Amino acid sequence: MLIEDVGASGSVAELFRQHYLPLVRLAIQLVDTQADAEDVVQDVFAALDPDRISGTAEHYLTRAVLNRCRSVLRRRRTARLFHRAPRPPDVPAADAEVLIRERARTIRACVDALPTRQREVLVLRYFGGRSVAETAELLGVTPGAVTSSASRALTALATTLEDHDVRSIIG
Amino acid sequence: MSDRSSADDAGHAPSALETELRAALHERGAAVTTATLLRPDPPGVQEFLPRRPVPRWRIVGAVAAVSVVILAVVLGRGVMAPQQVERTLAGATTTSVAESSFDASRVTGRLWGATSIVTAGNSFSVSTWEPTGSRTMTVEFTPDGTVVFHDGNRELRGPFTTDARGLAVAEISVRATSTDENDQFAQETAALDALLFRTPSPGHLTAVLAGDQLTLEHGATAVRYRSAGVTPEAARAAGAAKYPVVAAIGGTWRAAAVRIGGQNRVVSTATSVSFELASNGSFSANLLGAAATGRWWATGHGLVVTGFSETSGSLSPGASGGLYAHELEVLNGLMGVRSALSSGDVSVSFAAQGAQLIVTPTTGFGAPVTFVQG
Repeated sequence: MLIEDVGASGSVAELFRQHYLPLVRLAIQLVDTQADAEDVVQDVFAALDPDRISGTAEHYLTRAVLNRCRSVLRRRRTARLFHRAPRPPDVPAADAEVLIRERARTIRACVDALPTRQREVLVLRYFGGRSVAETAELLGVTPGAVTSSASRALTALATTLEDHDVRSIIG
Repeated sequence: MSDRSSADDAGHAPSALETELRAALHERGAAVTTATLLRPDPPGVQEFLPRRPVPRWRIVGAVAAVSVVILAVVLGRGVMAPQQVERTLAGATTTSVAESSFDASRVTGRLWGATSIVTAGNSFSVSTWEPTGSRTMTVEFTPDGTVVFHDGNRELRGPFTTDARGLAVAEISVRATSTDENDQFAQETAALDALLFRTPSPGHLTAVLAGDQLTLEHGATAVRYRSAGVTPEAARAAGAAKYPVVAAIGGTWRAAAVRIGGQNRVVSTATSVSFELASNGSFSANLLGAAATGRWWATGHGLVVTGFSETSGSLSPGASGGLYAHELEVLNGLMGVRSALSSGDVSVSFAAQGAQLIVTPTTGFGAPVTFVQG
């Protein structure tokens, strides 16, 4: 049986075509690796019931992806507690050194190190282009909380970058 | 998505840091393109099916079990010295680990810090939706403690055990079922080659089970498997014009659940029930060790099987050995279906619902049984 043959699932296939790539791009900001990001979005679609979508599909899917990303991060934390097998260092490809600007990479590393909520706020605001109100709705918090989280995150980011710059000069 | 972030909301121009941040995040996002996606096409319908909710009795059981443990520890502290409590807890942990070792039909591995269960008989597959057709490699855990990798051309076998990190597979033996060296496909083959075939000492694999995904790791190489599903190409291939219904239900199926009292009960893979609908109209089934054959055809209401006759084996009370309590109820339902089938001239209707197949004796004798492909 093909997905197009099933009424509701047909619309799922259409949603998949429209939103899969943008959602993977969003997820990778939160879970770091493309494989995890793809799995997150794949799982969202696998569990998707079109009849339960409330509001716009994009809004619904974004919330679902955010929730799945949190689950991945939680599972990853648990895994690190128990799984101590050595893993190869995350060394970028040879051409990545040339292609990716050092500064941008440092910024992304700083973002990745932020607490989950602050990281989500930054990604939704500065990658997703969401307003404060939209971000608040997606995260289920008040607009004030979004503003304060963003402010704290930017301050932490600036401090970290400043330290990094100082170390670069010294080192 | 329109950009309504910093400047609009804050009422001021974005700072240099905000601009840099936006650029850095978009750079990472832009690196993901359709070309880099592992699976750019929609998956098969089975993956879109709503998952069966966790039965309430399981949730209640889990909560009760945890409560009992907590209560036991709390009460134990009142009557035992701290050293005794420690020894008791240590003993409990040891027991838990011991139970997690290999057990003929059921393997419990402590994976990623959480107890996951790999039930013997489970199979996982790497599926590709290539324009040239669907290709699948599967890894299967058999009840005798053997893990089997097969991709249609080659087969690898090896005993598996559990350790603290998960499943360990050793002494892999390779058996080629095809000599066509050019029959290489997809990047998964290369990954599997790197993982198994080209490793001087296959040795120790770590298997990580998370949801419906199985990841096999060997050093820095890993292959991810997903539960075997129905691919569009497989459905098309099975859907010969002569038997259009097969497009939806063709292949071999195994029992997944039986509906008792209006509730679906999951059937353990230890309960071996499977059947096959062949494109030539023959029907064969294995019900709890008893083999039987019949004929099937399509009707407006689904499929009908008649002339069902037992060819070998017999169903005895012993067949329920090793089953768990709830599976005994399941067995009763299966026996009802089997009895209806065995009576020869009694028809059984089949109704495909997505990737599931509901088998219902038309006599009303016995409970409907749900089968899934696998």
